[in-house]
Amino acid sequence: MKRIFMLSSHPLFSQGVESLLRRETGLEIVGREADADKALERIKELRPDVVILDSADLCDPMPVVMRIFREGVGAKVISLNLKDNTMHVYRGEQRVVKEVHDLVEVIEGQEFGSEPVSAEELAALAASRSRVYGFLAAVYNRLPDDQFAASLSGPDLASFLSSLAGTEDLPEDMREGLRLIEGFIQASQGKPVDELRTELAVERTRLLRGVKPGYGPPPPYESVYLGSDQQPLMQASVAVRQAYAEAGVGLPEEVRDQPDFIGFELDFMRHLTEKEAQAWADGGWEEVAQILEKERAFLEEHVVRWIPRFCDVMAQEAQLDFYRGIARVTKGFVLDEAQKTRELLEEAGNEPAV
Amino acid sequence: MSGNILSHKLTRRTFLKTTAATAAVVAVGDKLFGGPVSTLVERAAAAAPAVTEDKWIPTSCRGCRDHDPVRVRVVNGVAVKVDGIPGEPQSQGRTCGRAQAGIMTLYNPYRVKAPLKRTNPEKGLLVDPKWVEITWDEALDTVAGKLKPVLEKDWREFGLAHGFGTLVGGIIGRTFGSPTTDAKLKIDVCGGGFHLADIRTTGDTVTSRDSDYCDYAMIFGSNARGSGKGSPTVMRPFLQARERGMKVVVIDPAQADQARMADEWIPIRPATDQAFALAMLHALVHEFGLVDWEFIRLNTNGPYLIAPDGDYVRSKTETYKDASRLEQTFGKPYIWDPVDNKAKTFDDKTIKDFALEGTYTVDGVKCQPAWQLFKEFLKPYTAEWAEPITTVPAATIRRIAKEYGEASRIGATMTFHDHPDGPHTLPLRPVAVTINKGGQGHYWTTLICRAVCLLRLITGATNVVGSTKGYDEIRTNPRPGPDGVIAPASTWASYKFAFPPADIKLNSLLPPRWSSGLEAIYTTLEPEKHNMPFRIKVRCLNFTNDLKSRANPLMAEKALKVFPFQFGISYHFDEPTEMCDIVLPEPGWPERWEVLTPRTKGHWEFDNFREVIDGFQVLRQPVVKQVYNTKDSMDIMMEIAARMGMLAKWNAAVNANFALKDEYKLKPDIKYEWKDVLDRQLKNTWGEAFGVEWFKVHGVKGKPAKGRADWYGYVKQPKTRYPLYEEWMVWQSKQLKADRKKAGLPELHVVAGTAIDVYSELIPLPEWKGRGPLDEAAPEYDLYVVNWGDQLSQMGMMMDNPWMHEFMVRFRPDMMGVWVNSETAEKRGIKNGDRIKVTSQFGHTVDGEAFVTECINPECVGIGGCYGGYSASANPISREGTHVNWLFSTDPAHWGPWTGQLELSPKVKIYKA
Repeated sequence: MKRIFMLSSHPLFSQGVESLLRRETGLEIVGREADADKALERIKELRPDVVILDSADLCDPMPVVMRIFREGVGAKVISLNLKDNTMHVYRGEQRVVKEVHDLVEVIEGQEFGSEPVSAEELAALAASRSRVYGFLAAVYNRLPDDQFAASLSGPDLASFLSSLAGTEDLPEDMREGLRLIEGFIQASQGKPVDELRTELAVERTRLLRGVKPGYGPPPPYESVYLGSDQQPLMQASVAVRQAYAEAGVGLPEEVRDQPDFIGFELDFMRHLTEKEAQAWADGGWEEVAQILEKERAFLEEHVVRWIPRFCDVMAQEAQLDFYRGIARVTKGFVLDEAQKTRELLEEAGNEPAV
Repeated sequence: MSGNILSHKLTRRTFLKTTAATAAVVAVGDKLFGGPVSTLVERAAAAAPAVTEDKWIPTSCRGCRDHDPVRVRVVNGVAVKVDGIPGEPQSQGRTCGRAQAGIMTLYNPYRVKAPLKRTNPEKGLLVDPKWVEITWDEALDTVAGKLKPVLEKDWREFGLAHGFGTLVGGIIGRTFGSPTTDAKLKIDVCGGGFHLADIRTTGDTVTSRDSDYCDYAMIFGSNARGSGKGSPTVMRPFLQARERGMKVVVIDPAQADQARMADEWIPIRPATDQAFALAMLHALVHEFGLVDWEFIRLNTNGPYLIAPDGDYVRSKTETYKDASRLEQTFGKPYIWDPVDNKAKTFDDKTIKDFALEGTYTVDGVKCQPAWQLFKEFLKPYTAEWAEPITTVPAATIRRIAKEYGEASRIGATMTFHDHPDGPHTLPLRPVAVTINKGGQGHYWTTLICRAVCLLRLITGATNVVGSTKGYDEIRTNPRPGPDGVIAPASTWASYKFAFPPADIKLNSLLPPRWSSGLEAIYTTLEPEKHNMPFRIKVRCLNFTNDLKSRANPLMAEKALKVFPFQFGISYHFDEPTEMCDIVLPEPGWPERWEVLTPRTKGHWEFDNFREVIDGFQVLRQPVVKQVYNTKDSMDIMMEIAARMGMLAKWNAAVNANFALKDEYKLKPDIKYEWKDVLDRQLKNTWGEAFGVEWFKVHGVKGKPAKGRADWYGYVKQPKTRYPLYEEWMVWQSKQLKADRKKAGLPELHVVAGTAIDVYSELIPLPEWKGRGPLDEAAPEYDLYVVNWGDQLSQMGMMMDNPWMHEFMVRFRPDMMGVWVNSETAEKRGIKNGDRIKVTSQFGHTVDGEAFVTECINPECVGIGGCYGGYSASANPISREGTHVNWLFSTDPAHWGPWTGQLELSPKVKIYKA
């Protein structure tokens, strides 16, 4: 049962919100006040789970919020603004509220860390992320073969992707990218594998191999996108090779290409996130932090400085929705990754509560 | 690790969101690839490059044909700078722009990075091949699969189009058949007459100038900095000679680089160098008497008696067999001894003197010494006669002739004391006459070049100190043939007729021949019409651009579509690579192994070196690991051979080509990388201690010559006679007519239905016959176009190098446009920067930006370099500028009778676009 206290000088506001909330199970309105001081006293007594403020009362709700927090009540504070349909959930989140469900969700949500994320979960997440990197790297690095083409023209993937359609909360680029890939797969159903493979291979060569200016984008090397295709910035290539070396990896002898190719940089992130997963499972905080720092550094100093930009160009120049989709997914993913690793890194600095 | 993380920011909500996102993509990935895939591998940290690596590595540049020694600075695995090697004797530590731009040769993002195959069966200059990247295995297996049945049937059906390439012809030929099945459709715009003339007057295909001692250099239509060379190494002797006081006279319609370095620039009308030379000869012989009489008597066939039929008057009893003339038997040529008053064979030991003039009767035949005929031949060719033809004032021609004759120092000698065998005294004739592409690029090319080269003979300035000489210095051996006259110095100077044709250029029908190769297009398009007994089924392309170095690219395009399968060993997507079925990427020069054996110590053409060295070798080594998925061209061909079961044959070819001693021979069934082969080649030449490892440090090794005198052909062959009178051509004409009759062919050579009177050019003295198509142009075509290269604008291979492009656009845009003389421009209302069109007498048009200048004959417009690539699929920066080749004609009726030489300075008209 969640216990809710209303602070509003507008009777219609509090009555209106209350009556809506009363229809929900598991929620109880335990009190209402029009005056902030009186409300604080009652809140101290009642110790509700949630306090809902009427933002129309307060030019600046912060003092009230701070007082609630200072009282040590531990309640979630929601400032509801019916004029522009927003609510502020302290601390600093803002979401759209269109229906009672949106409000209920926040009320019931765990954002304030009441349920922590476990190391096992983070290890699994790292492993997952590693597989995403691996998949993307493979798309860039491998030459399309029959299996690849067959998968794209067969029924399994098609039905799976349409089931993803409802998945919310993907970064928009990723969602859009998956949608494009889905569209491509639908359109390719039943196509002869040979023909599809050739189409994919031609497109891949055009988009990724820098055949000549004007025929596809400049080839996806960091040195080309940080410099130019008239004068690549070779120091970038050196720095990337150095980053690999410091992590104890490198390109195998038989792979004859530059380390700053998009597929290799993504593969490096695969490697790092694999190591991260292991560290969550077996290592200590320091090790996790070190790897996360490598991830953050590589993403911020290399990956996001150019790959999103290349993805934009690739999406624009692609003629097949598959590659257009991959470009969008790549961009969305790496940008999200950059943000995520920074957050994880900050968290990894905290001692765990055991 | 167990336990929880108290996470403020990483809310469960965010966590869920991330998990959902990744899970979705992971699931897609799993279905597409069946599980995780990776490329990067674990490595020991020691394998990583040191953070502060900074070193200079010696190697050799391949920006042009000079192969200059250079060094490259490599910082942390990246090549950052090309520079000269301090203290290096050839280049004296200098380097040039082309070498410097080699950095972009490495890091050009648009070079071929991996093997590819075309998926669009339709080929064309404007058609997208739809390239697909493939593995090396697939690429090599495909090529081997196509080539094997062809070689099993008829090796001639494998054609090699090979320009300034990296394949070693001797190995390719021995393994796959003779590389003379040259499937190059390229027109040799520069070969024409001068190679033939050089061979006949100095003994080698190209002539060099003894710059250390030359006082007077006459340069006809030639640009040392634009002929596939121009490095510091090659320019140094020329410039040092200038400083020493060598006078340079350049005869050229445009003031290209060479003329800028001249004391006197004579802006001659195009295609009239022959008239200029004939008039000079006339002045020397008839007016000034500046003739090296001793040379004429002893070292030319001037004294040889000529019969009315043009042949030598020959002994009926003293005979010889001539290997260069089908082992036919000839009587020894006669001379007339005026002291004993009788005819004697040229090598008679009792000869007291040689008559050069007069009329004699020998065995009932009335005859005259060749010199007499030559003198008479020269009579009409006065300076006054030449003036209206050339636009050069008669007084100038005369003055130059006098200067030349006097500078020749007839009678002078020089003695060298540095030879272990003792002092050598040689004639000193410090004058050098040369002619190359521009001067010879016209209809009567062999006549033009012969006339110019005759200047060498008049004052005895060939193969002696200060004069011109065969460019392969030490090895120049202008040995006499059995008739006392210089014998053909290379395979294409001897006669070998073959019908049906043995090659797609029909050279075997017109032996020996330096041809433009135009026939290749016509024999490819219409093989039956040309009696071709084979068709090229597989073509290998390496480092040549048939489509750009030619006149009508559309015709070449048609021809290239005919070859069923083509594979290109290519660095970038130039026009002919676009027509290939498979592209195999090769490394750029800073990433490859090669051993160069430049013909002379440095000298290739034009000017020679100070250092006296008997041959040397240079190692080109990679300064960085190959940047992309490339393979050395010789490794590629070895792999192809191996996949066709021909590895043993390949290895045997390597052994034979380098004459490897037993300890260095390749074993039949082992694949040796090219680097390993080179190591054996070097050790084989220089000794066990001097393999690749030694050369990696030292770069160059040479064998000192015994002494300076060894440089001069005269020392080895003081008695060789040079042909003033080309009796060879008289014989050749006759023999060719007989051979064609025997083969059932019409007397005239026929190409694409056009009959060509080749015999009109096979004449013993270079008679002025006008200028062919230039004299037939309609009057509206009142100007000429001329073309030349310069150091940065020559050779198509670097036209898409961004640094070169940037330099030219900023500093020398005139080389990409059209030079118009200022007087001409004013008359036509053309200003600097105007867009103009140029239409040739053959009906073709190009356009370009006008650059108004004084540096060109008012009758000419100049289009320099080789810009203006036109394939829609070429790198756009190489498409900028104007391309002169469009203006030429590939109609057999317009090309030189004997050589097929294109008219390189057609008449044109210009107008504002």
